[in-house]
Amino acid sequence: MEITAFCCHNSLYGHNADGEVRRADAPGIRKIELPCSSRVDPIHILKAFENGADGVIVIACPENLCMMQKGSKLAAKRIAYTRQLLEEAGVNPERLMLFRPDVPSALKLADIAAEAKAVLDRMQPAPVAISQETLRLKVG
Amino acid sequence: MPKKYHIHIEPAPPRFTPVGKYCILDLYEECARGCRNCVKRKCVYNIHDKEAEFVSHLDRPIEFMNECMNCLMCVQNCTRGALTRVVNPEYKWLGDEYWKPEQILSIWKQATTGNIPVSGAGYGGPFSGPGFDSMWTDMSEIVRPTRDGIHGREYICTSVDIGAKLSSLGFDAENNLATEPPPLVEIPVPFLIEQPPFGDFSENVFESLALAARKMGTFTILSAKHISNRLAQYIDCIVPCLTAGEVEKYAPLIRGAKMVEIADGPDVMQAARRVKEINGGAIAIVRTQLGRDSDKRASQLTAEGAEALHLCADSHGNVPDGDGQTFIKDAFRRIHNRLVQDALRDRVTLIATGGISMAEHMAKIIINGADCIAIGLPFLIAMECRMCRNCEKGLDCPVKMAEIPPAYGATRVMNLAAAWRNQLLEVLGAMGLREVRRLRGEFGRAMFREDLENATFIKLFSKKVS
Repeated sequence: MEITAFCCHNSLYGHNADGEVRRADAPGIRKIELPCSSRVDPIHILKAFENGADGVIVIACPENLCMMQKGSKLAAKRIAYTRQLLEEAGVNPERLMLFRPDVPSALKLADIAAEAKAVLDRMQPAPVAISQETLRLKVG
Repeated sequence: MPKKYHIHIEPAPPRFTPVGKYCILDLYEECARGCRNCVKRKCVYNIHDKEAEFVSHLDRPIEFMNECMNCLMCVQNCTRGALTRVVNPEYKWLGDEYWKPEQILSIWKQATTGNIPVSGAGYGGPFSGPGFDSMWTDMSEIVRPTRDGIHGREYICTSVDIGAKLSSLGFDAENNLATEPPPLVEIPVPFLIEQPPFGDFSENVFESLALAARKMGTFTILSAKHISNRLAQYIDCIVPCLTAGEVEKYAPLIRGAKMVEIADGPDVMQAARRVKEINGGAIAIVRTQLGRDSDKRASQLTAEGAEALHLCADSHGNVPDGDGQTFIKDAFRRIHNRLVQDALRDRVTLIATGGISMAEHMAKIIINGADCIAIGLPFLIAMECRMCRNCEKGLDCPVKMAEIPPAYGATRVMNLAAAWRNQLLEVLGAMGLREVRRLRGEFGRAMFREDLENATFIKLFSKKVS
């Protein structure tokens, strides 16, 4: 079960996140820290599935706490749009999950990952991953 | 006229997308869409187009290109304010409390281009700090253009000699030299390449270091156990490092080497004499950890005949000193002064390792009494190391260091070395010095914050600043 997590740095560590903090970690997920959840584009999420992820989670700040003011709200819109794309492509849109835990959420990362795994366990492995052979043919 | 020494540089783009500092948050949902003046098309560095192209590559894993140059043109001029410049959080996690992200990025840039880092926007501070930042170097002759470090007409020599130097020579009745001078190795740059303190090591990594050392005319210090048959071809520019008990085991290596390093211990001088018996032309270097009584130990070893001492602090330049700790520059100052006091200074070469993270630190440690430096971690970072320390935890290296092609790794190391040497030339030129040898122990060419504060405030507050 492979999960890719796009995590807003401010959501993980709080808004005064430049002091001494321990880096958040959850075993078994590939974590990518971003300056804001709105840094994620649909193409990044689709790439995550192409690279073999069974599920993708996006961790964003609550809407009223986003440091970029509108970043979290726009991230939610992009995720809704990406879910449509996934559905059109024949992939269960529930594989893409948005979490908005209380800030800071670093210590809850393992729980979030467990919750995502529980959802994905009810599904088959994702059908999307591009094999290396197909990639070689496409890229040349 | 002999050819001027020069380190050949070659562009060496990174194998993996480096961790960038700045990126642009594009809230394109806010875009006016009818704006005919799209600032993204006007980016001087073409970052927006590059990013779009970067992310569209099928064969790339999920990566974010964070190469924004922080000019803020697009942020300032977007009519809807849809762009924001932010700092990449992965950048903030780079390095540690001593090896700062800024320094790591600078080393990467120098290793890629071979050029001196230039910011072009002045320096806003801080003007002092802990460690090497607490000393300032003389720049009094910077207005003398003929001694311009890199471009001046007057040549600045960066060669140093490793080995014992005699204080006197003897001649026989026919005026022939009767004294047998001890072996001396001259290297054209004041640094050796040291085996880094950690890393995803392989023969490829060591061969990169050895190849770079050969091309630059210097040496690389490697643990003898890592010198395989493949690396033995570089033995003329490798310094095998071993313990006193391993001298017989590595006798074949010692025979081919020009210098041998022996870890300090009760039998170290006996082992050094044995090395001389095996290879009379080799220089035996004693490697010792810096500590509270290093000055006494250095004096003792020199009096017993040590030709060179490799004095090591930890990777942050810290030296244990009783209950607390001191910094490598202060430890070297004490050792140099003690050797001068004991009339032994010229009999030994002092090599410094630990906390050298920028080119200026080379000049500063030489001012404090080092003859030359052995650099490990900066060259590892030059080979794209991110200091994530995954190798120490048994995890995969994100830059696959073990698979680095040796020729490519050597080019990255040489690029960094060239950039650092050029910066050293600038520092020497600013001082009006034509030889790096003349910089050794030149305390008068630096100001030390602790000394200045003590001189100024001790009479007021009767409290010494440490």
